[in-house]
Amino acid sequence: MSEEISFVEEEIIKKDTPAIILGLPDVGLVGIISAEHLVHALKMNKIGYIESDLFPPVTILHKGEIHSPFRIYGNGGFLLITSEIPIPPDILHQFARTVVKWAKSKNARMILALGGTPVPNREDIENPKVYATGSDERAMGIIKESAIEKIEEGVIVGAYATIMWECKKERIPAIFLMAQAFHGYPDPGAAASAVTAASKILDLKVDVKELLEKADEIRLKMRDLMKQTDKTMRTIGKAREYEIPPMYG
Amino acid sequence: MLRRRSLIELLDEMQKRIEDSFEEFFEMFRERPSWDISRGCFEPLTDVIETQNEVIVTADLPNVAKENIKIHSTEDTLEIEATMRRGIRFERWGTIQREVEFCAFHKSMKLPAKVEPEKAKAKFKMGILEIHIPKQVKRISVKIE
Repeated sequence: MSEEISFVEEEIIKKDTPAIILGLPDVGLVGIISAEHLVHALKMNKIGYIESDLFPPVTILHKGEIHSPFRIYGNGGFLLITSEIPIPPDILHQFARTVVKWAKSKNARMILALGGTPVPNREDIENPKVYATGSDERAMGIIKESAIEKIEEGVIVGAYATIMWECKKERIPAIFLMAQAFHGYPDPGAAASAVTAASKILDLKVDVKELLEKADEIRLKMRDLMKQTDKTMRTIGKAREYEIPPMYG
Repeated sequence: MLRRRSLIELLDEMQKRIEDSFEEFFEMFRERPSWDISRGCFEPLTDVIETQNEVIVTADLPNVAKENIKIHSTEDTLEIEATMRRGIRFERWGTIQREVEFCAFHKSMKLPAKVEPEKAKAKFKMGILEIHIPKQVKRISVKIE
């Protein structure tokens, strides 16, 4: 069994200093719902996929065609990586290293991770707030310019935690946008907030009206993925994100 | 200093990894689907939290109005039924590959502790149902000798 994770580019990616958007299954499936919306809104094409013997044996059938659940999309100066299955916990570090190495090979100007942060009273929040954290000063500068609230203290667990750390090491500016979301229920409302914040950072105009109008349908369609993601989140101790970090000084 | 692992240890490790992968893989198939086309029903996503005094159950019920939810509870079970505002039609549904319409939710569950169902309280907001059911608690004072 090969232990490699490889990026397979079906089209030659010639983008100069692209921004790479990540939409992975996580809290409230904010990442994947946001990614799906951005793929349609920015008319992105599938340009590749990620493969590995370490991934679960899953293939997606869409319109009669076989697709990888780990896909890469692109258009203009943007690349987007999304996954329709949770990333197995035991390969999270390796996955992060591979993503960041690939981003570096593409001379990425920024990695923008879209996700959620669990809030216990989500049903009382009409417009979920979005917080951000950055991997370096450049990323922090972009967060400030975009008038997005920086998260000062907290714990991040999962794929984005490892990716942010790798970006810090490899000096790639990375921003993790966290919309207030339901922990274990698909949250299109939170995704709409995340997309709006991402648009500010990427200087884009993306309408989220359709996302909000189709919220009920999205919640129904995403039930099974949420169930699988919830199981994975329990395995990696995702509930630690509710904790206050013990660091001081 | 790092110890070089023996061939037996490496083989054991490999065997365990293969067993774990198979277990995970077959676990997927042991699960039943979260829908029932004969009744046009989805099983809602739910979460159960047990605190010292109560059991809290939440359920994700999109496309549902409050008045169309029915909750039944015994001292150790809970059943949630809900009708959707409008049916949701899918042209080719999953493994059965035919048009289906879902118009309801149904879920029965065993509660993690014995409860007092007559004292249960529920609220419904943004499609999330939250039910609080007090636990049957026997409090006995202990005398210090």
